[in-house]
Amino acid sequence: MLEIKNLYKKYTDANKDIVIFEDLNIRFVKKTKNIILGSSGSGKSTFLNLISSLDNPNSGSIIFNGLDICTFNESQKTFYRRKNIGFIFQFFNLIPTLSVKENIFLPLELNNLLNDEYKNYALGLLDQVGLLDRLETMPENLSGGQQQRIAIVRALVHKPDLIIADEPTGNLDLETASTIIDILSSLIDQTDTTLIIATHDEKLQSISDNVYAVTEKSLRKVEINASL
Amino acid sequence: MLLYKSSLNYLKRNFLQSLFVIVGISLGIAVTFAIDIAVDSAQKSFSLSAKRVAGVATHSIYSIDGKEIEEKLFVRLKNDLGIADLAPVLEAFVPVFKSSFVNNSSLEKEISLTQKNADRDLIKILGIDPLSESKFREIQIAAKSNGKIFSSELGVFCSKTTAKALGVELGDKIRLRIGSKIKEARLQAFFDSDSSNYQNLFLMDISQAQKLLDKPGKLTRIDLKAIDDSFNTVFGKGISLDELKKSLSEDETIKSSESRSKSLEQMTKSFNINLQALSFLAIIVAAFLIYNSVSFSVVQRRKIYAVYRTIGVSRREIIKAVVLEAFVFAILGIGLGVFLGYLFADTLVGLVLQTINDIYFSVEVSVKAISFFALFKSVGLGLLMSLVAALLPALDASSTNPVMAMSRTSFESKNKLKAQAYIVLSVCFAILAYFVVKIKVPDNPLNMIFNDINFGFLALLFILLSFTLLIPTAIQILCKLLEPIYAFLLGFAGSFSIKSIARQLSRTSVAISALTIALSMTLALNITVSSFRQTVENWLEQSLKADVYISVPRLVSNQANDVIPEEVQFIIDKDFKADVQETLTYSMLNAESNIGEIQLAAIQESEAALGLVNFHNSIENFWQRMISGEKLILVSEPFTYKNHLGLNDSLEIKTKQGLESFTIAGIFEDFGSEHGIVMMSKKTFQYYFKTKDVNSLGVILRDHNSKKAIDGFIEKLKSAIFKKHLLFIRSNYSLKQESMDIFDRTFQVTNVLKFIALAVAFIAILSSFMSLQLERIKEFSILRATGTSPWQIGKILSAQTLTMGFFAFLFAIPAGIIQAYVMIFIINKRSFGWSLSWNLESAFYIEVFLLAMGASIISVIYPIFFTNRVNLSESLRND
Repeated sequence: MLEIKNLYKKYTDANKDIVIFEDLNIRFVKKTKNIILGSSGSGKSTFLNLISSLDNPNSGSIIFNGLDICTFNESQKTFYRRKNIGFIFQFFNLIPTLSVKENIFLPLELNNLLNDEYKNYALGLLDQVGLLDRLETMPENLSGGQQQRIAIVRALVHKPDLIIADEPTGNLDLETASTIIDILSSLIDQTDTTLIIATHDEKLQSISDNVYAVTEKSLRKVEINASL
Repeated sequence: MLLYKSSLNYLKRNFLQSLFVIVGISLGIAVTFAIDIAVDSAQKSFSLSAKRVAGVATHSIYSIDGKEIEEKLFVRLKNDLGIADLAPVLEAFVPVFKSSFVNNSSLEKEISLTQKNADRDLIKILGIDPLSESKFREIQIAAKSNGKIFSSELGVFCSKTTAKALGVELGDKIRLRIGSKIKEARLQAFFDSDSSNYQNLFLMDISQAQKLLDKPGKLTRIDLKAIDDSFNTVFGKGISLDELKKSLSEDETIKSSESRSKSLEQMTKSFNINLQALSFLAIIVAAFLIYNSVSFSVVQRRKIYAVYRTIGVSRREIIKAVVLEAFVFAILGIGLGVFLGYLFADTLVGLVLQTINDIYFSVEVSVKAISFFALFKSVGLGLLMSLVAALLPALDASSTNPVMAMSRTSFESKNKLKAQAYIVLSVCFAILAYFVVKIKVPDNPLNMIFNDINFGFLALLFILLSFTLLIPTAIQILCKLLEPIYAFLLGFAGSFSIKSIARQLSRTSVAISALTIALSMTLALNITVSSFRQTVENWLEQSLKADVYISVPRLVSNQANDVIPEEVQFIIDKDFKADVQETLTYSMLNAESNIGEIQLAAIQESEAALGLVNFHNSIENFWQRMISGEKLILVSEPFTYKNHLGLNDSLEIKTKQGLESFTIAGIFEDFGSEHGIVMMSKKTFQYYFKTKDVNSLGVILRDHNSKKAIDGFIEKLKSAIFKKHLLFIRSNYSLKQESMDIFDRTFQVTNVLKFIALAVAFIAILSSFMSLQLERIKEFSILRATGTSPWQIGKILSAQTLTMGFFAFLFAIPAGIIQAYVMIFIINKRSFGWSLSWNLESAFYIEVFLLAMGASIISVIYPIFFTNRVNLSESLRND
């Protein structure tokens, strides 16, 4: 489903090149849950930005369902993200000027899917995360855990092929983080979606099919529960 | 839909900010709309005035010197040439006294009052021949008239509204001041129609009008109706226009009604262009306000746009959402603006008509005209400006890099890099301004838009942009320089506040720019108006050197037909010999020349008269050569500028001796007429125009410059001549004061517009300063949580806002002076052709400084109050 070939990515800072990835090759299979582990600044977020077409590699290709997204123009990239990707952020990033219902309907509207079938699906997901009674609530009136649950529903409503989560529990307490992991895992299991999570939280390994570590300017598959 | 809903929710949440934008736009639109209504109303009033004068006449015959023609011509045209469609007209503007007077002193007061209220109390006497008239004007007299329509007694007819305004009824006697005498006429009947076309008009039988106006056998003009047979303009039984022209004497001329209207419209063109340019400035300020507000809201929502981009919202959709916001602002602002403009228009119509009456010609009809075009222009301009102003921030929002947007620091560093690029852009705009100033725009069909004056205003816009683009870099430099001083003086609060200005450059530079523009425009307008005023004052000082001035009370400055009775000069020469050192005479008439109609004046051949004129340039020995009878003329500065003439150029003038060529021997300073004036020696004037008429007198007393002597002389003179002649006798200082009053009245429009533009800008500043500080609530909550006292927070906020105000003041000084330079030496020169001298009073800088500090203080009050009352736990919990 998602294959990365010979990827090379560097940044230039103060006239000095910092190589993040070099000759990175990796393949993610459909309907799998993948964890990318790594310390802060190791390149986890850069990897997520690359596969979601928010950033461009210096060379190499990122093949998604047979198409190289690195060759896409701006509007193709936008359409690629809109249709195929669901995002979950560390700081939730709900739209503060829209209510809970409007936030979760936003991807449906963008994809022209605002019909009864998808609406009911979205409300069903909201019910599963236990927030169906907060439809008209504005994000600022929700706790961090509640906001992240809404963010998960928003990422899933349009049934994307790929869910990208950047430190989804990084801003939550242990108990809430554990709840969020359970919810995310159970909802993903009900779909055909592939999940890629970037985290430094090793506990997330418990829900994953594959664990990768950012090391030596590449991603290396590691054994689940292996200590990094 | 949800994107738009999110935008609208944002606007609702930031209600105060949104309200400021709407009010700001509405004021900008209101000014444009009100000015358009005022200009349209002035044109309509003028055209109604002209229409009621001309009726359906296609041509009119006038005297070339602007005086009267002989009635015999009418008889000749009718009998000898057999032209049937013609009507004689005698007209004059006269003041009407509203109350009776008892003695000379109250009469004098009355004259003075009438002079001041010229626009209201001036009545046009229209003397017509009832037998010839039916083919020209359709004024129906009401059947229910009191007595005979044309009786032996002097009788007038007017509309019911005019009678009501004057407080007279049918059969009442009305007192009219005719030249220097008071006469009476009885109101005999009303017109059938009461339309605005017939206001301030007294209709009379022509023979009675001649009697009333003391002009027996004289006509102002003869109206003619030509038959256009598609090849030729033909009068009566096949007389062509050329044949008719040939049959006229050298003193008479024929003009088409259309050309007369056009030439009068032309007269007020510069004035109208200036008004429209001022409204353009108000729109620019309003556009900047929209830009300011939209970019602020975009900057505040960068994170939201980043989320939009990650979930697949396209750039186009973000642009649409941002532009829609501006559109909502624009629609609401325009709606309110049109309403306010309609209200402002009442004041502006009055001011504009007053100015036109003061300095151009008499407009007797006053109407408020609202054209569809004016409405369309205001709405269209408002929408266009709003959308253009919003486009840049919209593009900025759409190009939000989601990765970058998550970090404010990276955005601000990017902004600092942008600041360097802005310097290059600033230089480009400065170069552009220089070239725009240099462009000489040729005459073209779209002259109302593409003309030298508008290009001057375009240069002004480029200068503003150039300055604005330098502001981010200047802020960074100033902050660096001031940081140690602030830290030393105010400790932590000082260093924190100054650092914040530099670190939040994306926001602070916009707010400071808004204030800089407002302050610099205020400074520029102040410098321009006061330089103008100072120059006019100096000119009056130079040219009004006689101690006492005597004239026939004249209500329209450009009409100089009234003549001082010869007897008056005789009395002064004979009875006041002991007091008077010298008498100066002023004569003026309108003449035709190879460049069109000109105003021609006579200059007395005396050193005293010469001393009144300030020459910019002259040929050698011009004065001696003029006195010796050479055909030399002196022209005013606007005359040379408008007609592209210079020293030694010749001007062909139609005189009573035929067409004569005169050489320009000198160029002098004159602010009396924007269209310019031509002077020749008194002897030459009298020789070529066969007239000894004197329009005003200047008396230099032996006890020169003594106020007591002047007042005493005036009293004595009044008692000597008031029994017979009602003349205006004014001292040098009261004439100067009156002239300056007219000057100040002319600039009332500018002051009103300056005030409105300032109000718009003030709202912009308030809005951006307040948003800037309110946006930092969380930052201040953290400071509060870590132990910073409310007093310290207040100190930080005040220090930052006042520093920003001070920066704006510093930037506004050079920007204002350069704008004033463009206004004085380019726009004014192109509009009026006048050379003005600089007047940079320190009071202006103090005013601008106080404005800057005032705006800063007002805008910081609410944030201080709000920050110190915010619920800390709530504020810190919410992301």
